Amino acid sequence: MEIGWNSQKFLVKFAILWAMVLGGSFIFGQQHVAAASNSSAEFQVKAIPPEQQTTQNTNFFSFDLAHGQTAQLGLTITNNSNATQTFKVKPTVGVTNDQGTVLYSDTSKTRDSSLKLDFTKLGPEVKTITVAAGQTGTYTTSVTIPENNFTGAIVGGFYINSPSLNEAAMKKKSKKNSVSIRNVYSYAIGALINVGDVSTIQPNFRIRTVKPTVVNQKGAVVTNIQNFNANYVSGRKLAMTARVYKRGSTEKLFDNTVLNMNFAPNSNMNLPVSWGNTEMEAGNYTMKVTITRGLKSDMDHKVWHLTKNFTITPAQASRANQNPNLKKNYMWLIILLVVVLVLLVSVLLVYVYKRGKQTNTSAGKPQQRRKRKK
Amino acid sequence: MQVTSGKLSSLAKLAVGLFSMSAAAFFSLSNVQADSVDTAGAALSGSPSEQVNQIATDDTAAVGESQAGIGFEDGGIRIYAPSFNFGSLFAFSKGEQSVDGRYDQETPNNLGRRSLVVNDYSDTDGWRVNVGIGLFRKVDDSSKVLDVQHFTLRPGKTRLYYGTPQIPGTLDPQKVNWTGVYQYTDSSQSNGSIELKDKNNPNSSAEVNEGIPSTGLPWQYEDPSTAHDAADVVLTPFNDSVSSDDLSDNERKSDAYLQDTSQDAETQATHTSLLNRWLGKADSSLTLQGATLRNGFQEVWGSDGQDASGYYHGKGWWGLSFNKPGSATITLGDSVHETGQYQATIYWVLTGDPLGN
Repeated sequence: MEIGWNSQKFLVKFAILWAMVLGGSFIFGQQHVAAASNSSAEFQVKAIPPEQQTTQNTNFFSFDLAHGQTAQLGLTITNNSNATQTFKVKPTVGVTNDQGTVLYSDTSKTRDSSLKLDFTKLGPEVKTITVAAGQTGTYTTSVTIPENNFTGAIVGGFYINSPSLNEAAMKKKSKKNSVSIRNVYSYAIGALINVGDVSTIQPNFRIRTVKPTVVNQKGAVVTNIQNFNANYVSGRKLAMTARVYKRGSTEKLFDNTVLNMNFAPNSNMNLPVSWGNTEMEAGNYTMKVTITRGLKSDMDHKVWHLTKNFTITPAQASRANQNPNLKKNYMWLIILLVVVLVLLVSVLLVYVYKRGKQTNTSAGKPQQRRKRKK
Repeated sequence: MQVTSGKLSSLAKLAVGLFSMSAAAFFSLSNVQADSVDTAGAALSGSPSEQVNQIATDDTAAVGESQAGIGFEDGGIRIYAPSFNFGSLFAFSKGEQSVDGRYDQETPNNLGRRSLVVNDYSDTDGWRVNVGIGLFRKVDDSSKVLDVQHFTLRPGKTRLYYGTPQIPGTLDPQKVNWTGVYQYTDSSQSNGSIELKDKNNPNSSAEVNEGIPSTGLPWQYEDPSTAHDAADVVLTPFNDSVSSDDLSDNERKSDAYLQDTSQDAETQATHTSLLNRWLGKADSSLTLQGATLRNGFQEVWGSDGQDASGYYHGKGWWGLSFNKPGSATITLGDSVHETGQYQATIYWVLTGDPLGN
């Protein structure tokens, strides 16, 4: 069967393309994630509570201390691996993450501006301990409340990881697959210390800043909310709703609600409000945040209403509008195009009209001459 | 340039040849994958007790080399993380790539590979799992990064499993010497029952069934409810080149927490972790009514005793299987991927939280 010229051309194109796609994928593509099975943390950490511990059978610390009083805290670290390992214990301050979860693994030196007693400065030490294979090592430290007039809750903890096990995990390379994911483990053991009559201190909130930014490739405004008192919200009783308005308007533009939150004392978190796929415009806005603790029927039910004006500059809006899926406002472009089109058509019409007139004029003269010659 | 008809015919033949070769290469590649599936899917051998050990052990479980098992210790918590396999990612891939169907069938081996498991013998409340993921870096040149925009865990597409071993009703669970209960180094302990010793009286002993129904496997304690219907956990890879032991700001991101906002079907308690902890209501004889309702157990080992609300809490292990396609995905950007081997690190943090509930 004869294949026509066009068919042959098509076949060449198709086959070369297919060869590139499949051959290319064979040569370059093959990227597997490791097929290895799951792994376990090769160590266990268990809290040794102080004698003042108020909650038993737990893997965290929770106790009351008076001014000048000291508590002895401990951790046992069991090395389940088959080699000697090092374990690093770092005291931390409890912080609140953006979802309303209190974390005890924040080893940064950043502290909330309202923090009065820093857990890491009350006695807990950074230590590295070495534990033989199959053995259990012990970390001990003390916490002392200074003689001052502080009343409230102190939230901190210990972040424990194994540099040697992490290093070993990093060295693990996939043998036959191209893309692998390895697991690294650590523990965070929280500590809650109540000093004095904590019930006299209530958590309290304020807005620190409202800033435009980009969240998940979308323009957003992030409100930093601070609990500036030395008490916490637990039991996932907190709900926050942030609403954005054009300044002076009552029409809500965007909002976001986060439910089931906790909040550490003297800590802050970011509550984002996304612009979604809408282009962010520069201008003056108002952020209104409603924070609710508990149900109306609860004894500790409380509502906070926070408001802050903010401005988005053209430069900030431009930076925030990096969303590739942005629904841009092209009305100005459409109007411009219509105007340009109308102008072009007008110019063209005028040109054609004039040209036609010219042609008619110039075409008419020779004909007349020819007629005369006849 | 003019191409003659004859030249074009030769070119067409060459192209057809190329087509055939590349197609063959493609299909031979599929066979390679099929082989690895067979290997990975090897059935577990041994008794149920050995199998329950293997459910949460590392790679060796896949090839049947049982090693120290779950290793419960009184008051201890231990985490086992899943491994994920996204199958073949081609150089020009983009968009969402699902975890492959290699372990779709939830056999014991597969569960062990793809499950997030927490063994907990401490108090019921107050632990959770946090997670973050580093950049997908090229193995031989860490400055080059695979364009992975998101790594997503979808608990709503997972299945929840839990186990609570049985003991005779006469044995006080608080007095059990936990160490060794699930550590099998002796193959003679494969008859389905083991010896427990009272830690206050080392000379005493009691025969204990490991909590595995003779007719089933330990992972059959699946929660039939939709209690683990949690929101997606979307992780954005962060730059972990500086320090791998400091999540700090990255962990503070809203997406770095595996949260389960569901409520327990019986107690209406809101769970605080991706992994539900069983909160069965018990009477004073330690017969957990909730357990009876859920999995037929009359006696459940490992009660912590009553809490302030009058509930007894069960101890055991909790597992969330990411076996279904779509239960874990990575989202590749539009960039052209440079070929080579890539590795990323998932950082798991098991937290004991005094403000957990």
